[in-house]
Amino acid sequence: VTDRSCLVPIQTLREAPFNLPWGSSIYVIVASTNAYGTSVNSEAGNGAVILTVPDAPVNFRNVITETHATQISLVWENGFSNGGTPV
Amino acid sequence: VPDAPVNLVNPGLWLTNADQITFSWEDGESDGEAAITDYRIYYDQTTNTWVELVSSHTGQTYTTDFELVEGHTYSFKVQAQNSVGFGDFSDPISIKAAQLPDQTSTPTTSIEGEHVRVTWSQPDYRGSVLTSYTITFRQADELTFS
Repeated sequence: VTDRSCLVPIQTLREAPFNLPWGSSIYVIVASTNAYGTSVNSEAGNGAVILTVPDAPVNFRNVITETHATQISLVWENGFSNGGTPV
Repeated sequence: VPDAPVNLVNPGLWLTNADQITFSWEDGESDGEAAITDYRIYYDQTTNTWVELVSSHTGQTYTTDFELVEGHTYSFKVQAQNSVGFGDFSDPISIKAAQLPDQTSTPTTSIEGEHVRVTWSQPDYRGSVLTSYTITFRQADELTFS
């Protein structure tokens, strides 16, 4: 048995018509064609999850009311995307 | 009489296209000192019965013009004729008519940097070499594959 494979840019799957959000599992089907025609589809395989790094934190600020002579208190919020997996 | 034709080959090596089988041959070493005029072709549809398919064919390539049964194996043999008569038959060639390829194994996926690698095993191509694969991905709606 000979293995076949192909590489698809993740960016392609992020764009139309796929529009996969970060954190999505990749579901893929393969069919083969010879001169007679095209085979039935394979079962859908999955496994890989597309992930990226999180967006930059936002609203980074000093909490003045909690800032003292010996301590500075800073707070922030997560950016829009966690890259598909929790920060 | 001429020697038996030799080197019967199917250009795709046992492969066919959807509805035709083509094969060719070469003349044997001796034409019997009289020019070969034509060839007679027999075939066997795996019934162990040889039947005359073409009584007089010129040229050294033949393409079937009868309806093939998908996945059926056909055997052919050829004899050359000169002004003296027919020589011996060639060794036969067996060729399988094409079928749809088998279902491909369930593909696996893995991440390689900025790419997704999709891997599957080549299925049995059922008598006709594979010309392409179609790879479809599920869209974000979790229903549609494109």
